[in-house]
Amino acid sequence: MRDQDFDELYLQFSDKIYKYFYWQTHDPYLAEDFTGEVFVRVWKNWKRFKPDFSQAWLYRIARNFLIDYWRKNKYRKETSLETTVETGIEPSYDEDLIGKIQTDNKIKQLYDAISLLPENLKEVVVLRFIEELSAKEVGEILNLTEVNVRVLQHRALQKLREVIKYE
Amino acid sequence: MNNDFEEELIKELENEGVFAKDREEYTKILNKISMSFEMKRSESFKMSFLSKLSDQDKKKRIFFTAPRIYIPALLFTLLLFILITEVVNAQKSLPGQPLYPIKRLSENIVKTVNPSFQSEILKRRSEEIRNLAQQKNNSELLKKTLNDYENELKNKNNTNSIKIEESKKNLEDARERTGENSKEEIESVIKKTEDRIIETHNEEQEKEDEDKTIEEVKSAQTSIHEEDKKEGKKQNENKKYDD
Repeated sequence: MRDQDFDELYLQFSDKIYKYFYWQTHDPYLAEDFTGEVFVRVWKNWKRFKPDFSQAWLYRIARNFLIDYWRKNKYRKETSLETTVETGIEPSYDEDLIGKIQTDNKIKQLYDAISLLPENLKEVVVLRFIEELSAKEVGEILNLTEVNVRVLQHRALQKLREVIKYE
Repeated sequence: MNNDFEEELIKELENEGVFAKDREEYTKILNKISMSFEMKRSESFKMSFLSKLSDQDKKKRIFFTAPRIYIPALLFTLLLFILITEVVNAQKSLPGQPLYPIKRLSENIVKTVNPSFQSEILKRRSEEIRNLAQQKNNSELLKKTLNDYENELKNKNNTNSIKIEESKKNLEDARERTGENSKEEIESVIKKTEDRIIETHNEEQEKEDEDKTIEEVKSAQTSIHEEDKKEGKKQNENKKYDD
């Protein structure tokens, strides 16, 4: 029997993780596959993970998963649906949401702006401004100090101002 | 973007000494980010994922708990099969071969359970002597096996004259097949076997006689008992008549 807490965890955080993966991959299908994989991993080790659970910890799992995925698929970001991960669960997608994402101009413009940033700044933008995590949490996820996160977020805003100005 | 979150960010920028003009522009950027709609998958979609996970959990329980029970049983059966095969193969082995100790061990176990197996063991030793004699180059092993045979011959449980006679035949075969060196030793063991055959025959004869005597005594006792009964009856009838 699965733990009731796990269901609550999934309902509360799966959208956030989905959003994180979307901004990292710009592929709504892949983002769904990855979200499923992360939660299957958490579910498989739930008894072990449960006592130490925190939001930052969940993002760390997601980030590590992404790093592994990109390492295995060397041609970064040129991902295809044929290389989806194996969760052991038949994949399914919220087509309504995907339709909205794919036709939303604001999302496209924002993604184009963010993708011009260096990788370290991009991660800070996604976690800090889109996912709305605290500087402390972002620090935990990226293995940085809070001060470093603030410096990077400032730099990211400066860069974004340049990019968005010249659009 | 959450208002509190936005305020907190602006405060942080203020604390870091960012100018008011810059702060204003950053606020616009943050607003732009927040304007992108929330990516929320439908509740039914999420529930369907959880139910799939539940199904997988059930399947996992069936596929993963079953082997946990059956694997040790399968391993045990496999080990047992190997053990039985080894023991069966060992029965054909000769002294000096790797499986021979298993043969001796299995014989000891059977002998403990069934003492009459002793005669079969004697016959087996004689067969081994015959086979070793044929190989000719195993005089040491032959000597050792002859000793083993003699020890078995001395055992009082060896009472099956048929088996002992078969053993003697095997030894005679061995005598024919072996080289000159071992012939004498085999000959002496054959003599001992013949003595044992005579002894066994005598023992059998004695036992037969004993059985016969016991039977005769028993039948005599029965007839006396019956006669006594008849006599008693007669006396009772006479008494009745007198009265």
